[in-house]
Amino acid sequence: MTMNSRTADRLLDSALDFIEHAPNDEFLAFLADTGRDRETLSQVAGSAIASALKRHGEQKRLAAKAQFLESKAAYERRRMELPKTIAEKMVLLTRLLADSAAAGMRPSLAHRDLSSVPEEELDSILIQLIELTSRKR
Amino acid sequence: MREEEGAAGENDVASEEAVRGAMAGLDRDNDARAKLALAAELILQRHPRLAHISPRDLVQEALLRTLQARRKWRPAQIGFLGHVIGAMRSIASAATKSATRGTVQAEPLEVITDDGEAREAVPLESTPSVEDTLIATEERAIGEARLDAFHQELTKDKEAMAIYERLCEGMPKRDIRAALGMSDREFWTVDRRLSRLIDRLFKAD
Repeated sequence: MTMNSRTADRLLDSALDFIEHAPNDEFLAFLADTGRDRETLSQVAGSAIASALKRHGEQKRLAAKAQFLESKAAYERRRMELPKTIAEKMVLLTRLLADSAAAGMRPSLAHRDLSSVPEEELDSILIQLIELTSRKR
Repeated sequence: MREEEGAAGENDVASEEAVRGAMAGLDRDNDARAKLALAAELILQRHPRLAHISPRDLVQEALLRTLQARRKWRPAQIGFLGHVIGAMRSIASAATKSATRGTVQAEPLEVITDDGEAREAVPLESTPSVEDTLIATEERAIGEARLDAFHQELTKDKEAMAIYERLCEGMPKRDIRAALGMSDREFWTVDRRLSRLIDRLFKAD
């Protein structure tokens, strides 16, 4: 801000308008007048485009990773809240199935032999049923 | 670059895909890329406190913010080149204001109010030191002297002066062209001479 700000801004706007709208031959003549090289300038912008795309991709990957870690942590938190023994888990499962049936839901556990389901899978079923029934409330 | 438009309504914001498409179009066009880098150079010349930022960084930041929709591109209202130039201009202005205040960023402060819960935003207050004030006064004096020199140069080019005078009145360029009764070709040639003087003015800054 080393001169009248409004004047400086108007002058900048005018030059930017020229850059954006002037015919290409006038633009190229301007570059020649001011000792600038078109190739050098276009390389600067080309590098900026590549870099912006790369940074955006990295940021999206980081955001997706953070979201994955957060949902994994949330799952683990819910798992820690489940009963500890298989017997208690089976009692909870029976109650949740009854609750969901009472709420008009029909969870598809048909033909599953729940007595031989691995504990991790049982936990997963319980967590899904808890979410399902709490959403219906 | 309007052929890259990705949205239909006047206020519709371009999708990320549309922005990527426009960037690809820009990347294929040597002249458009040169225009973008030149615009960044001029904007940074206008903001001497941003000497630590390169034109490449400014272009990249404007594109990144557009990809992230932090700067919204409305294709029905403006072409992609014009949008990115506007974004760079606004980023540079905000960064200069922030640098002038001596703050890292221009985010408002938040304070806890008496109820201990509600928060309210408080704008950053600047308290320039005596040294800052002296530097600003000196910079302003140098700037005014350069502007005087710019005016002197302009007096040698009556047509460029005619455009400049109307710009200072706030007249849009298309109206200036009509008011001066110039053909497109004549107008852009004179505008090039004016832009060259503006470039010299900011460069000297």
